[in-house]
Amino acid sequence: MTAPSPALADVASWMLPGGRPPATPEDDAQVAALVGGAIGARLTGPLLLAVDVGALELPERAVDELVEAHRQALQWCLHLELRLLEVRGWFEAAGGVEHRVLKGPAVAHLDELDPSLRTFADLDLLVAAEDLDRAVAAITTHGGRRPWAERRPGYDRRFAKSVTLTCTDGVELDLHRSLADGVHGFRIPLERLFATPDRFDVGGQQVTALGSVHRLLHAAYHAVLGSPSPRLASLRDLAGLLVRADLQPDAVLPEARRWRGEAVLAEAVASAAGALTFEAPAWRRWADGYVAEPAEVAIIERQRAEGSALGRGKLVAARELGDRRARAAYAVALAWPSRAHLRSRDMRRRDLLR
Amino acid sequence: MVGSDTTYRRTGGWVSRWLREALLVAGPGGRRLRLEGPAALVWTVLDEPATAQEVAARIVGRWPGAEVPDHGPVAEALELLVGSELVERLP
Repeated sequence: MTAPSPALADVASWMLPGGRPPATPEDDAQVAALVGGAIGARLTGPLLLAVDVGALELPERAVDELVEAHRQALQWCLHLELRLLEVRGWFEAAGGVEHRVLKGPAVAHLDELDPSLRTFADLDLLVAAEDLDRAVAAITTHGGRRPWAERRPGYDRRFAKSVTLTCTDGVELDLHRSLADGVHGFRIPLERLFATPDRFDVGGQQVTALGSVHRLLHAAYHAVLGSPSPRLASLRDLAGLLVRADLQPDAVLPEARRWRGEAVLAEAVASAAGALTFEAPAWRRWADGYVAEPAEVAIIERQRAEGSALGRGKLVAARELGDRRARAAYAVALAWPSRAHLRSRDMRRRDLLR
Repeated sequence: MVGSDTTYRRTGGWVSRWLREALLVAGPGGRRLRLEGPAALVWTVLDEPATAQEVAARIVGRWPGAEVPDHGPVAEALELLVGSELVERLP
């Protein structure tokens, strides 16, 4: 992946404290790169706002393209929020599912100046592990389909990061048991994620999200562990929290230590500070001074390289499981997936040996 | 009958986003509307139930330059929103 252009990074920093206005592009090629880049990076909201307040100028045709792209993105967000209301009804009808809204809608309503600044493409819900099977069943009852069968009976609620389901209209629902794959996913004390929720209104209902400290840590984990290189929109989510007076290092680091995730957080802060412009001097000082253990750096690099694919990182993750029986069950699930799982992935058992 | 002390609230199940000066709203049954002018401002500040006068005060407080100086246009917008089932009168 090539580094984002400075202009696009300025768009991602726009309206953050200390963020500078994006420079006006000098020629058609720069205009096309900026608008196309903002659409691809889901940054149409900040770019359109910058245009509307006169922070930069774009030719009329480019503004029209930007407005139309943003309109479509917003309409999809509205569609997703209506689906969120439906899903909550399905959960209630299934006897109740403890859940928290993650990422897109939560960031839009709780962390941006206006929800229209943050667009998103899917719905992510954290679901209490003991409710995960019921949540999956509730959605499949209403037409949701998972791309492949569960790896082994009980795997989702015990070991999976998330279960992805696709609705008949293309809406993707990610039901998370944890917030990360592999080692770091197993280290997170999941019960704490439900203890201090924040709330926001969707269609007259109060929905619950992670508390702000957990949102910050999740943004950091998503930026660092969610893709081989951090996306600008993910870094903007993180930076928007790092600038808050109530989310300075002394308020966040104790929880990061509980997650044994300081190395991830330091890498995320350094990435955000390197790519974006925003005022968070205490965080920059902390990240500059933090020295990660080589073993922790290796875990992060392995996770970034593997993503959700099965690799050595997933095997190493077994060490994080508390008891021997859990480790054994996890190892069996990795090595010996069910026939149904293999069939749904169009694989044979011997394919695992390659 | 609609009096000046009538209280209004948003109908549940509608979600919205600002797109420049317009408010995109979506609701039950896949309905999509685009609100502009006073109707968009009224719906935005009606996150808590209010009378027309209270809505007008909220608009002026939130957008000091907004061209909704008194509750006349607000009451009109509220009834328009009631007609579109976006807003309901409290019993």
